[in-house]
Parts: sequence; C-alpha cells; structure tokens
Amino acid sequence: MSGNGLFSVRDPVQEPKANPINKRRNLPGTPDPDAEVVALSPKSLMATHRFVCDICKKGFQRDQNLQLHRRGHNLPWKLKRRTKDREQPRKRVYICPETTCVHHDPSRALGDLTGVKKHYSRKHGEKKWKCERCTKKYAVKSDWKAHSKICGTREYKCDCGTVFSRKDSFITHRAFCDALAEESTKFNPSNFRNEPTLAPPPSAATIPDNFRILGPEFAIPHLNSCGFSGSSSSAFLASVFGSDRPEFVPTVPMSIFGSPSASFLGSGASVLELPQCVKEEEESKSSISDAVSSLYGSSDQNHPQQQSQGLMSATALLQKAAMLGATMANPPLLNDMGLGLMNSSSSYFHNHTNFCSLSQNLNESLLSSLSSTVTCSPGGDRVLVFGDSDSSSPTADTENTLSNMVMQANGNVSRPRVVQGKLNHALVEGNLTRDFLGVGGKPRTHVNQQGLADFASLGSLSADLSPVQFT
Amino acid sequence: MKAELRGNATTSIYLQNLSLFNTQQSSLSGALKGCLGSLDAACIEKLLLHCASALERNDVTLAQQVMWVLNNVASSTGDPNQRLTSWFLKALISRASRLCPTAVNFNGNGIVERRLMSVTELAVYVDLIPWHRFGYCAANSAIYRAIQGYSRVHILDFSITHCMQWPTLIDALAKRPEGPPSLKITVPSCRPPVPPLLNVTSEEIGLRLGNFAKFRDVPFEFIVLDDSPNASESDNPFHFESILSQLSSLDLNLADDEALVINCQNWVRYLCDEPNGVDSRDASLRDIFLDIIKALDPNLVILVDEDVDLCEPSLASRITTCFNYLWIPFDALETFLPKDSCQRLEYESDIGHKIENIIGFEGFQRIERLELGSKLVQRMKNAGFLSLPFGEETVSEVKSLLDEHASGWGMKREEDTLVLTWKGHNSVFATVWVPSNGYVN
Repeated sequence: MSGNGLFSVRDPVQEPKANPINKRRNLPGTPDPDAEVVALSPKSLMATHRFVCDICKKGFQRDQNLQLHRRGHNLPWKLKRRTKDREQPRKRVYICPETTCVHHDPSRALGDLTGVKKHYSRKHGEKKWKCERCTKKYAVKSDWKAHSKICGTREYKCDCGTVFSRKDSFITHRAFCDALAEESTKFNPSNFRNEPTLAPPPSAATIPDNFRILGPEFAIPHLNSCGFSGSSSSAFLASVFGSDRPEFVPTVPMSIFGSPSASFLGSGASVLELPQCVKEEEESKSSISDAVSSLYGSSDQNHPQQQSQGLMSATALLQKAAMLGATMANPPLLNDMGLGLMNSSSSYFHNHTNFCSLSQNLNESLLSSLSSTVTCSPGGDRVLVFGDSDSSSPTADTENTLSNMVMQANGNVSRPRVVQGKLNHALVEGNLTRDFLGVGGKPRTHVNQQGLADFASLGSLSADLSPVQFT
Repeated sequence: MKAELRGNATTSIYLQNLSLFNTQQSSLSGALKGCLGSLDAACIEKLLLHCASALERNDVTLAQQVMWVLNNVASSTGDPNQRLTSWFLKALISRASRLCPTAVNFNGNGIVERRLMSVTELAVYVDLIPWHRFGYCAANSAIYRAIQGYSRVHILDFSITHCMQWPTLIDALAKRPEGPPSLKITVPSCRPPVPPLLNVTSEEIGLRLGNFAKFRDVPFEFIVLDDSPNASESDNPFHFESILSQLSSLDLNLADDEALVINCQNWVRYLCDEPNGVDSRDASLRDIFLDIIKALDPNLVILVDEDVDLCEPSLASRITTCFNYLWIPFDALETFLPKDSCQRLEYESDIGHKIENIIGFEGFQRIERLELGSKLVQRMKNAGFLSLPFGEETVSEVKSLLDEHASGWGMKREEDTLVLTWKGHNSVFATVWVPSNGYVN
C-alpha cells in the first residue's frame, strides 16, 4: 500500500455475487481466512475524492467518474471491466486505523469500506450533526437524518407513565405492567376491597364459570400420603375437577394473590383465593370432600360473603402462605408458593474460591477485584453472590467452608430452595456492603502499566535464574 | 522456586519452569510486551489461550501468572474488551479452582446469582438490543401468516425469556381482519437454570398475559406442563428428560381448526448434543427432542438460536470462539449505554454466566451447547423437517425493527435462514420448519 493510501480501489459496492458453491460464510470467530485485510490510514479512510486527475487535480469519488472526466482532456481512458466472468476476486475486509479500537483486530474487521468509514466517524469522530428536537448528536449524517425522521413523531405512553419510542417495547411493557392489572380491576367494583392489588383478573384457564382453583393448602391434607409435589396435587385437582375438560391441567397455583372473583367474563377465569381457603380450613377443618363440595357449590352469587374476603394484597397472601407452609414439614412448599423463586432456577451458589494451592497473594488480589455485587437499585431480591470474598485465609478455613458449601450444594442442587447455609448467608450479607467493583476497590479503568512492565521485564531477571532466551 | 505474585506495582517474580516459554509459538513474554502499548483483542485472546492451555495441562502456576496479567487488563466497567475479559477471567478462575485437589467433589453448578428481575424490567431487558426481539419478530410474523384460516392456535413455547415474545403476537392477532383466533400457550414447568431470572413464576406470567389478552379481546389460555414427581428427585437438575417424557405422552387434543405451533428460542442449545447413552450411535437428547416434536405433527416449528459453534471438546478452541463471538453484545451495549449503567452491567453479567458455563465446566454440567445455524439446519433436515422461507412481509418487518435500533444491526439471508448481524458479524439465526411427511430416513 502506498503511503498516502491512494490506490485504485474497485467500487466496493459492486462486488459480484459469490457463486453459492464457492460461497464462504463469514463465521463468527473464524473470519474468512482468504480475505484481504486492508488497513487504511485515517486520512485515506476518510478521503472522499481519492481518484485524482493528473492534469487538473480534480478529485472524484469513483474511478469511473475519473475516467469519464479524462475523456474531456482528450486523454486515453478506459473503464474497467467487471471481472464477473473470471475468478472470484478476493474479499476485502477493513480494519479501523485506531489502534485501541476493537475493530483494529483483523478478526473483528468490517466487511465493507462504507461500513468502516461510518464506524470510524461514529466511534472516533466528531459529532457534528445535532438533532433539533432533542439533545442527540451524530457524527454520520445519515444517522442524524434517520433519527430526525422519527424523533418526536411516535410516542407511546403507558398508563403507568412510562414513555416508549418503539411500539413493540410499548406493547410488551403494557402486557405485563401493573397499570393494566389495576385497570382491569376497575371493571369489577364489587371487588374493591383492600388495597389495589397486583392481581390481574386471571383468565388463565378456560374452566367453568365460578370455578376456583384452590391453593395448595387444599392439597395439604394429602401431603403426607402423596408427598407434595406439583404434579401430585394437580393430578389430584384434575381428578377432582373432572374429566370433561381433558386439556385443562390445573396447576398448583404457585403465586398467590387475590382476584376479583366476579370477573368471569368470556373465557372464564381461574381464581386463586387463598384467604378464603384458609378461612374454610380453619373453620371447618375441611376434609377434601368438603373442599370439593365448596368448590362446586360456591359461586359469586351464592356466597357473596366469601367473595368479599376474596381480595387481599399480594404481600399478605404470601405471608399467609408462608405461615401455612411453615406448618407443613415440607420446605419446598415455601419455595413453590412462589416466594420469589422460580421452580428450577434458584439459588445455586458458586464456589470458585478454593485456591488452596495458589499463592495467597494471588488470592487477595484476584478475589478483591472479583467479588462483586450488583448494587444498582434498591430491591429485596438481591442475592448476587460471586466469589467468596471472606476466604482471606484460604487454607484450612476454605476447605472447611468448602465442605460445608458443597454438602449444602449436594443437598440443594436437586431441589430448588433457598440455601440457608451459613456461608451463603455470609456471602449475601457480606456482599451487600460492597460495591460492584470489589472490596472498596478502586475501579480499574486502566491497565496497570507499571505492573505489566515489571512483569515483562522478568526477561532480564531470568538471566540470573536460568539460561533461557526470551524473544 | 515458588511463584509469588502480588497485586501491587512492585513485583518480583521468579518463575518456575521458565523453559515453558520457549516451547510456545508466541511466547508469553512476547505477548505481554505487545500488550503494554495496546489492549487489542488479539493480545487478550492470546493471553486467554495461554491460560487455557495451561489449565489443560494442569499447570496451575502458569495459569496463575497469566491470570494475574489478565486481571490487570480486565475491568467490568472499562471498554468492551476489558469488560469481556473480566468475565472470561472469572470463568477461568472458576475452572482453575476446581483443578486444585480438594477433599470433596464439587458437582454443583457454579452459577452466578443475580438480582431477580420484575416482569417490567425483563420487558426492558429483552429490548435493550435486538438480540431476542429479532427472533420474536421473525417468529411472530411467520406464525401470524401460518395460522391464517385457523380459528384456534396452540403454541408450545420453549424459551428462556419468560414469554416476552407473546404480547406483540397477541396484539397482532387482536387486529386480524377475520377476528382473532383463540390462543393457548403451553410452557414447560422448568427451564434451564440460566439468566434472565425473574422474581415471579410462570403462572403469574400466564395470568398477566391472560389479562392482556382479555384486554385485547383475544380468547386466551395458559398452561404450565406439570412437573413429573420424579423430576425433583433426579440427580440431573435440568429435568430435560422429564420434559421430554411429558412431551412424548402429551395429548394435545387438537381440534380440526386448531393450528399447532412449536416455538424454540434459545432452547435447543440446552439439550445435550452428545449421545444419550453408552453407545455412540445413541441419539442425543437434542435429536430425541426433535423427533418428539415432529411426532406432534405441528403446523409450524420455529427454531431460533445463537449462531456460533461452541460444542468443541477443546477448551482452547471454545475460548477463542467464545471470545470472538460474545464481543458482539458487549460492543452493541457500548454504543448507547454508559459505562456504569446498571442495565448494561446486568446484561453483561448474564453473558458472563454463559461464559462461565462454556469455559468453566465440562460434561453434563456444561449446558450451553451452542451449535452453528448451518449445523442445526442440517440436524433439522435429518430429523425430517422441511425448511420454509420467510415471506417478504416478515423480512420487511424485521428490517424495520432493526432500523429502530443502533445502526450496526443488520440482517442477512442465508438460504431459508434469517441472520441477525452486528457490523456484519453473525449473531442470531432464525428458521421456520414444517414436518416433511414424505421424508424417508
């Protein structure tokens, strides 16, 4: 390549389509090995009129234009023929001239000249184009144009107040937003009881009107006989509810919330009424048959009183469920009642701290920068654990705690449940006080140049230690 | 000589086995010297490879030294390369820690726990970059077209993003000129233990979806396949075999005017691709799954996954490939989120989780078994499926979706496959299939 980067470049847009048989796919991680990697200097990359006429020094963006211009000087000219019918030209990929850029690496090269030009402008260039309506700035004119077209034109607002610029984000949010749930409850004034619930009127299953799926507490009396598990109780429920709806698979309601029981519209609804069930259980110590009859018998019209207790806040319901669950021998009930944990994805903990044969110093330096907690926002579900930063003395302590952890892990891996181990508690607790970057550590935003230099200078040290050549 | 490494700038390093450095093509020292000036990806990649080969040889000392260097490069709040490196380093350390002889066997899964998200947070999460939305858009559009004329639809949904795909489909169905079909969505009771993690259950998701469907006047039903009693007792925590057995005995009771759609997004890769049994000719769980869904005789099967080959037994090749693939989401997030953005850190942490599994584990614990799109296409064909091309309307919908995101996102077609690209590099592929009834195996 010449110094100023001026060389004849075939119009990059017009590369002939590859013959499918010879087509080389650009596999991620294994870029086309035959591709020619082109490294242009910033000046030549951003040069717009690189084809210059010898006579008058006028510049052109394309070789064809230059040739046509040369005709005017009565100079010999020739338009290049496309090499369509000959062998495949080598694919060209371009790397970014900025050495610190990720695209400076040939395996991350960009496939076309326009792309790399735009990239260079966007990433390393000056943002000269400013949007009139908002504060956004762009380095590439086409980006600015594209943005201006949509800026302020489309806005979708959810009832909860959040605004979206994209329709699909808006729709997705809306579907799951609490505001929609509350809006639906407004249609059923008779159910305004306690505080506004998080509960949408469920139409989760097409079951006969006024049908209620009971909480697991109705399966509880059967716990000892069939053991609590999702399927046994739902199998039970299925048999109870009859076989006329074969496709209906009543699931043990995992999350508990009150619901407006009068909202049996259209497709019907399944209503999870934990407090009602609790009440009945307490009152009548109901057997299953009683429960069943209450199932079939109760309807909104017949038992308005029950319905009036139908609503409770989600929190209160969960507490009730926890109480119920606590009386049962089987801890998984707690988990399966939806206390913040999915069925199968729950708290595994991670142990990668047993550096028993690694040096203690490495421990300290690595662990301190790797223990972390996401402390981005307040919330009760913080369980991030990564690395056990308590193991500052790795030897015996680590092994013991490791054994503890593993034994708990062994017991816990197959059962989704909250790990109650002491170590885990310590991990969670300990980590809550740390920032994301480590143990009160400074953010490492730059390479420890001095450290690296020392490390690299071991070459000279080694001369004393043994006769080894370093390149 | 014992190797001592300190985290401070002053280091006195005495190396063991110095002759090691001679035997390697690109010596470690050379790689380090090259790194002083710049932190380019090639340099980091070399360091990672050095570490990997050291681990493969059980040379903990060398691995430790490389990790020390990587530790200086890595930063979870630096530029994309630094951030990516920090997650790789964690994964390597996790692996290294298991090389140390310990008194007990660790058979748990080293899963990084993260804050559980709420549903609305997840809705934002899946839209940060079009990584997931690409698959949703292509699939929903294909589904919409495939069920024309049907008044009922049953979707078997296998995915890891907790039904974030469906609101836009419900919305589209609600506006169908001939009226919406009634929609039933069935999900398995468990999912791979991978992020994104939610703080509510599938049932609650179903209830909210139902609420939305009702709001849009679409008859709706949500079913969670119940967990078989044996699942929680098994040693294999992923319950895939129980899902498979549930599926094979599933009686869907499809009506004549009911279409069956099977949606597999970011799912098939969690099914093991190694022979499920002693004999090497035994089918893998992946193939078994495909056979089962074919037997259900669906109207449409959607297969969306990540286009990268990470099934290699060799650790070094997995590290390189992984590094040269996962830079994509890191780079994409860099374009529009600040370095200390919570959303970005959480998203990257989830990717870190994936890296940890790919690099840190082997055997059945390594659940991320990503396969190239082209290979999966071949696998589908072998299983007796016929690929369908995406219609022009679908393609233009996907294009307009990508136009709304950062300008690096693009799309290309490879035969019947749609591929999402970032700056020209393949990231996610989407395909649709029907059973090929006349297929002779």
